[in-house]
Amino acid sequence: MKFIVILAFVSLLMCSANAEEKKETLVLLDNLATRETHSIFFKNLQDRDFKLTFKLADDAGLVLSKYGEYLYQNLIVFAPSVEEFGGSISVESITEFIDNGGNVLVAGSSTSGDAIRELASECGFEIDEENAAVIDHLNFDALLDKGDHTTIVASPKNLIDSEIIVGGKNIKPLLYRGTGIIADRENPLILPLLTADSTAYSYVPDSPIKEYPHAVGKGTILIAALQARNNARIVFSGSLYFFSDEAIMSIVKKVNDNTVHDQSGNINVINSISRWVFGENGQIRVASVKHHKEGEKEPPASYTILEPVVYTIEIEQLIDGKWKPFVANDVQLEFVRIDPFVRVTLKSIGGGKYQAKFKIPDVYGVYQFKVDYDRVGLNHLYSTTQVSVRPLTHTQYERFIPSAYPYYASAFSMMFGVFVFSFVFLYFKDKPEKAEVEKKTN
Amino acid sequence: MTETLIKSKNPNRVTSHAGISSLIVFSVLLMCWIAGFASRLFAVIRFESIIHEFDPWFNYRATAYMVQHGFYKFLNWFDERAWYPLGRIVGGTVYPGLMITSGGIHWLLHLLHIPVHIRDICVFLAPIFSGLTAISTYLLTKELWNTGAGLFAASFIAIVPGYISRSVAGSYDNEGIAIFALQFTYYLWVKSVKTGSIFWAASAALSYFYMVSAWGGYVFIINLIPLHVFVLLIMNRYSHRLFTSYTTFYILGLICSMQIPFVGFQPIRTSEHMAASGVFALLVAVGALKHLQTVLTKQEFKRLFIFGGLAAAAVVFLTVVGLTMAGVIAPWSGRFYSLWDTGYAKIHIPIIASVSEHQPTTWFSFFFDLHILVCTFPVGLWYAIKKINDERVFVVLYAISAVYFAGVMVRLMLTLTPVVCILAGVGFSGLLEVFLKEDQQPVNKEETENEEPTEKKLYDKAGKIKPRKHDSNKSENKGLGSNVKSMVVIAIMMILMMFAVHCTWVTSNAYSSPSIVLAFYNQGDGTRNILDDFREAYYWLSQNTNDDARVMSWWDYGYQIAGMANRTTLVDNNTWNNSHIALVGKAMSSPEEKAYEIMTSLDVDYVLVIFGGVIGYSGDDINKFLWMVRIAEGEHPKDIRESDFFTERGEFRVDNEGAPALLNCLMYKLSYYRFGDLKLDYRGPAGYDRTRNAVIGNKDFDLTYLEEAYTSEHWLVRIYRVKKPHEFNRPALKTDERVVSASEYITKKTSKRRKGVIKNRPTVIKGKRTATKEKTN
Amino acid sequence: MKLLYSLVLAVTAFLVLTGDADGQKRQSGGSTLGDKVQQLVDWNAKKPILRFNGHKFKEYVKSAPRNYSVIVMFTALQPARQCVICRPASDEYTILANSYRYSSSYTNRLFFAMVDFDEGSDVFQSLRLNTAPVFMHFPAKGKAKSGDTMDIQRVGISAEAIAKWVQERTDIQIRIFRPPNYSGTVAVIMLVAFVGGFLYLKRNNLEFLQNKQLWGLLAVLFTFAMVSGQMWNHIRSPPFVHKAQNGGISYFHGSSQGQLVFETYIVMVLNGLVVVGMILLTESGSQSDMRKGKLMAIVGLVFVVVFFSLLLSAFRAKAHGYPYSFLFK
Repeated sequence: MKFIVILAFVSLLMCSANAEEKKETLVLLDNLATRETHSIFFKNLQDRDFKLTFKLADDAGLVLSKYGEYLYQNLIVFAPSVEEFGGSISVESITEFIDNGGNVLVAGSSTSGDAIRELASECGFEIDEENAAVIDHLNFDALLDKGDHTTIVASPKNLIDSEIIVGGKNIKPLLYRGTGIIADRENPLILPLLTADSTAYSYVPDSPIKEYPHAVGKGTILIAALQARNNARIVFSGSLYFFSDEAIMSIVKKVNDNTVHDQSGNINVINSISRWVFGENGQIRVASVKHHKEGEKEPPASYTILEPVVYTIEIEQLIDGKWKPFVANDVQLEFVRIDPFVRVTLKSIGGGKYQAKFKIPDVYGVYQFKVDYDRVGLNHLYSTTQVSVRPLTHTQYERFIPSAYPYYASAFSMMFGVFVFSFVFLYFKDKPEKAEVEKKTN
Repeated sequence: MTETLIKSKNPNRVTSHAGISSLIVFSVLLMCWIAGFASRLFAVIRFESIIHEFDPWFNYRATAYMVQHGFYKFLNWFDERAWYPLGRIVGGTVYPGLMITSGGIHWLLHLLHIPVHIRDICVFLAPIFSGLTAISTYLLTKELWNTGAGLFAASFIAIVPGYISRSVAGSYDNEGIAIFALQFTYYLWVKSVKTGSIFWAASAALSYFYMVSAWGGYVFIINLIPLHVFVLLIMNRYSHRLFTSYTTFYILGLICSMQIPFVGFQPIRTSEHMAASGVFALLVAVGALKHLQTVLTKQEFKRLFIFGGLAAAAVVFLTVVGLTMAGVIAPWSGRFYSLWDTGYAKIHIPIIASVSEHQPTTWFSFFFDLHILVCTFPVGLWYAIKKINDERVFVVLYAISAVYFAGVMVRLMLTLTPVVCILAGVGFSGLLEVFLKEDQQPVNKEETENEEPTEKKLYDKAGKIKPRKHDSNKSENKGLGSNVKSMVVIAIMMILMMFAVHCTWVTSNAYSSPSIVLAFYNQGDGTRNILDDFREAYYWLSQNTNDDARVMSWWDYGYQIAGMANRTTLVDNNTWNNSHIALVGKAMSSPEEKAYEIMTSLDVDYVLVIFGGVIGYSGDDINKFLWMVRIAEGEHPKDIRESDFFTERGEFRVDNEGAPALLNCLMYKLSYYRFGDLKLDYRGPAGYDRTRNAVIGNKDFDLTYLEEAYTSEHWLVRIYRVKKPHEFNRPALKTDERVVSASEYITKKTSKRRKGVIKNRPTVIKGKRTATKEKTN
Repeated sequence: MKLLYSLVLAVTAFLVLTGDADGQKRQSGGSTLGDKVQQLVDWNAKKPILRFNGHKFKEYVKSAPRNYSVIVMFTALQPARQCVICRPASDEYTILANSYRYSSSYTNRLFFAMVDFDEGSDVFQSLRLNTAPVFMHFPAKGKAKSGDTMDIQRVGISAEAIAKWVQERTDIQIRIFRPPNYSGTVAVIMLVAFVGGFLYLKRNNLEFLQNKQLWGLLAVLFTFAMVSGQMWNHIRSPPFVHKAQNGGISYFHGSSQGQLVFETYIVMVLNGLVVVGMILLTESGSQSDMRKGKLMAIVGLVFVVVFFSLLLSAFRAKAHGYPYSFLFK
């Protein structure tokens, strides 16, 4: 007890001391033994200078935020069996934490409590019911398994193919023991990071199968991730064991397969997943957006139709702690007025800058430059810039239309004709009249 | 006829009389101006110097823009805040005359270092121009008849409600100045027909140019004047005067009118203008025939003239028809077409039919707007026809066409009013000439002296007696039949006074409410309550929303939102894009999630609805709702059906028997959100709608995609914020859509005991924590 | 001879064909869907509206199988039935059916049929119809819902209205092609010809065209018509008079929004009398005989004052809270 108090005190001191450079992380455990059993994982985190604060999940003094400020950026819940969090933490407060951009890593187990279930379903997936475990009679570990075939050997090729999240795929097989996760595949925000083999299913091990299992084959997700619309990242693992030292260090021998691996591949996956979930990896952002007429520097107050326009966007990626230029070849730009009028692929011009040159359509209105870049693993990049495109002003039409020259000619000839006519009319005296006059006079 | 001629000559003969009469004329016109101006100030006195209902707000905004940025900027103004995201080319889609006029006045005053805010100029522009209208009416009538009739007409037009309805202080709209331009153009035209001088014709063309720049009603002129010419030709009243004046007027007017960007090439493209060019051709043909007359004998000429004329007319008509078929000439635009085929708009163009002022006119509103003039101007018409001459043909045609159009559309009462005043003036002056005929001078005096009191009586209705007594004893010392004469005079004067009083009453009660500030009187004590919800809400918008926030509302309120709140609107009162309006109507009349798709595709930030259910304001959006549905149905017949919004028995009702489509559409929800739990008075039930007199049907519902942002004091204006997609952050699973049944867990936390619970954890006993800890580690 | 022979052949062939057509009609009691549709299409080829009697109605409309929906007009066209609107209704219905039959959207999914009371009274009983005409839609599958009976009181019986209703029930849009109505143009042409001929006959004395009284009268009458809101009547077509609550007939519409036909006539007459009065007054001045002039003046004065105040009181009755009146309340 005293020990805990001291530890908490020290941790508080430290976090208050170097809150700025160190990434504050709250670790909720249901059993302090977990610290030892998962020391490698925590060690790794601390090496990547995370500031871990260990608390019991039911500690009465738990707080996530003080005075509207969050004390932590990340939250690790390694307390599968928690029924209800202590202190001011609850499922609502955690979801609120997520909605404000906090990252959460949760590990369940075959005995997951209601709090975890609630949290899971708040994030769009479900943990299989009480005591259910992922069972695979064909790929379980020959040495570690206790006979109920729940310590399964997941092959790395079931990892989601995204380097950024789970790292490389050619690694040693993964050890897993725990419950399965169910999620609807329709949901675009949910990523199944690791699925079981096609021979697996999730059910209560030591009970006869009465109804159809909730998750079967590749449908049983072992590790699921959610990247919320505000780019908060949540990873749900069905097994706490997956992160444990035992799982990392132990020799892996898959049943009826003689190749013996001296160590499981968990560590790689754990590391890259933790990198991803805590936002060290797969972070991109818009550094700057510039648009202007071709041959100019500054953006005009409003564009005119049919003008050539240059749009430049600078995108950066977070690579171990520093923002570096982002490299890709599939960034697209849309020029939208309700519907996209122009859609072009941006050309990279180096230094993370992407550029597009196009001619504004012959339709006036209020447009938006829209870059909507959404790739698995990267956070959602969405940038819109509103510009108004105006029609030609009265001075911008051409003054002399070739087809109108006949009319000009006719107008001028008419003037001339009138002039001549009036001249003649006024100054031309016709003879006979004069003769007449003379006749009258004399 | 003869006697009128004598009379109009008389003043010129006797110089002193000339002086007196011109003095009288001047004073009467001055009186008219003052009276007309003053009687238009009710709104300003009751409320404040404020721009009135809808369109004036746009005109004011445009004027302010022009004053601020200069004319050329205004000409090229592309307004990206209107019709988002289409935008609107304001310079090319307005009649700039109004803005230029008030802008010019503003410029002049500031040149003289008289600092007047542009708003005040806009507010008082129409009353000032009413005086000019009176003067030009006087001039026109003087040309048509005589001075006395002119003075009558001037004093009628100064106060007649039919004209006041569009020209009270603050209703800053095109009609305010257009009527002056109309009358003045007609005056110049008549003058030019009489004199046949190019000068008058040219100035008529210039005045016509001003009219074109001021109001779309110029089409009335460009059809009426050719009609006049045509009828004169038929009546065989061709003359070189006519030829000169019309040809000059038409060519100059045509060229000038095409200088207005909004008009552009219409004068040579659209059917509305074809009559003019046809008559022009006909006139030239007739001129040629007349020339032939000098060559041919009378007999064969007559035949030639008649047949030639008819042939020319036929040829012109056929060419016009042919061109229309070929598509070179655009056919009649809907608004004009609906004047002929009177049922047209109702079937085909709901957007036109939905405007209340496009309805036909009852005899009631004729009498309401014209009172005694309604039943006296036929007298003038009668005499105009009896004593016909070239220019009176014009006024007769003017009267007949105008009265037809006024019958078809309420708003065209405006074009009828001036001619009614003219002819009524003719009638009254003719009558009083008979009954005040000792020598000519007192005629005018009588009229004038009996006019001014009627004008003055506008203000203190008390003491109607005085003038009667005064002119009765005046007519005492008449010779023969003086009793009859005095009786008649008294009666006429009383009727005229009733007219004046009626005008004042109508003006103050019907036409002087600036519709953005509502006033109502308590039944108990006559105290006046002001409902300023509109401005309150618009001010809220301007203060609490982003500068580029996009506000969706029904189009009636577009101009006000732009003018007062200065926010981007989707649709507004110049209804040029029916499909865009239909889109908004569809959003309003579809259920919330469908509407949300439309609103996100249009980047709507706020939705504004007008709801009168709390105070019983009848002009609110629910009452306009059927028009939204109809307009939406016109564009999207698959998605929106008007019949879905009626009950089985075909009623439109908002209570629990209402149609489900209605009870769940966006407009209903936005209007009645939280209204279900509002009790207006102690006895009445909750959620009782005072406008529809019903308890609403769909009481407790919640909004998913919108949230209430603001509701004004009397719930008249309700503003909602449209939630952005990222506010639906996580795909949370509802309990009912889970596969695994959720075990409902009751919290054990209390305010004191903040400790959580961990399952299957060895012996968690209160107070014994330490022991357990030691055990666990 | 040969020709005659072939003719006979043709005639017999025709008879045979029609005969077995009838036979088919008769024996197709429990016929399959295919030849039911075929049958209907054949009839439809002959005439756009299928005339059903009792058992045909049962067979083609009531009895399954059906993959087509039927619009049926129940009517009573016999003059004996004295159904006033049945005739115009069925005319409109025929227009609709025709424009569907000959439109591009014609399929064998929808048929137009009619049942006359005198041919299928049993149908009327079975459907418990005691009014005519009634338009009903029998959908292809499922049974008729409430909306499947057209509400004539609301939408009226014009072809457009029926087409709209049909489109609502069965998503088949029908554009109405009315047989062009030349009566208006013909009338105009007749009038022009008449007037022209008249002028031509009287071509040697056209003075009456110079008659100002005539023209003046015409113009003034036209103004009266307009000012008394005849155009409103023409567009809105209000009732002539309508029953008041207390059973009596009210000649004036209560509110200022509406008006009755009779009311407008009254107003027209009042206007006219006031005008007459003023003209009398004005003319009285130009009388040679003084007494006559006086008489005219007095009569005119009475006219003006009395009838104007009547008009004013009529106005007052409609404008609630209008304070002023003259002579009469």
